[in-house]
Amino acid sequence: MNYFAYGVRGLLTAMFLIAVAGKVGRAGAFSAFTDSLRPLAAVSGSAVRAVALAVVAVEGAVCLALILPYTPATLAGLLTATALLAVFTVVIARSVGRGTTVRCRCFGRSAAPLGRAHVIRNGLLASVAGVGAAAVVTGPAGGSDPGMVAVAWCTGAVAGGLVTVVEDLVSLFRPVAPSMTE
Amino acid sequence: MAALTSAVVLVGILCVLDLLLTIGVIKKLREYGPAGPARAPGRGMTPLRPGEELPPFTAVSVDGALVSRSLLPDEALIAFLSPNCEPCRAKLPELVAYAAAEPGGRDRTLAIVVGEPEECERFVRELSSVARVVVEPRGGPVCAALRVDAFPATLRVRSDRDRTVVTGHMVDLAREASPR
Repeated sequence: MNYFAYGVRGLLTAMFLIAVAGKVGRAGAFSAFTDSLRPLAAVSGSAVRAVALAVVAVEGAVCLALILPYTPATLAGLLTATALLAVFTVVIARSVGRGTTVRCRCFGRSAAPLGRAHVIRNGLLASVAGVGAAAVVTGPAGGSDPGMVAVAWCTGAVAGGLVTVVEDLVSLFRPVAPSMTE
Repeated sequence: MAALTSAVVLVGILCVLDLLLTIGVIKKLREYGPAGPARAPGRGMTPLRPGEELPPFTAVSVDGALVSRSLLPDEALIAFLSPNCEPCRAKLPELVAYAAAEPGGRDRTLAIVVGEPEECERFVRELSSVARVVVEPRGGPVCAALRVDAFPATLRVRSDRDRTVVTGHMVDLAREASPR
């Protein structure tokens, strides 16, 4: 296990932890998430709830697998994360292509409708998770200095936290409504 | 060496704390800042006046039924509320009582609850037994179509010969809203 893989683990753990907390932490957040899936998913009413539950469960399981200091679990977690993010990417890309305006509830509340930015974000995350999995499989020699491991993990975790608020960060650099600046 | 390590850890913790605070500020800023051209000052919508025709709109209520202008019964009441506004919270029990007393059951009253779904839960729960309830985000399609940007707001409409006309603002709810 090299330091890059530790970093990826930190990133995905933090991100999915925030995602799960955002979907089940607040009363009503989960049903709101379920409702946001309705226009996206090609399944009927009752199945949507099952899909929403499955998404949250898989996200939680990925967190757990990545925290455990056991290489097969880590690998399974990374591969699952890659697959999950790839599915998200495809589903959102389809919805954007169809022109549906669903609000992103990936991390609980959000004001932004799903758009190209989310497709790119999830695509990049999926590739990062994939590269992390590849790094674990091929196992290029990495040190195991506990200090460095902690630094790599924390770096990843901070990056994962930032990924969850990327919309807010982007909005900071957008101009205010035109009528305000006229 | 131990001192250096501890110092770096301390600085790291401080940075993360700063980052969290900054993100908190950004989130607050987005909550209060202009959410788009519709909410910029001086660009308010002119509310519908009695006598004007009700613009067409369609929505899906929380129980999955289609709601639209053509499906409104005669003398229907449309109420707009948001869980984020103090007067709306104060008026909610009054509206529930009023809607319950309306002849013609829950179809007679249409409540548009504006906000994030999780915020609206209580409003929806209390209203759905006496009215058709639609939940939509701020600046959503129904409010945009019916030119409502201040809450609470109410419209009483009359449908006659395929025209739907606004006949008034209900006094007991409108009293709270500032006269414009």
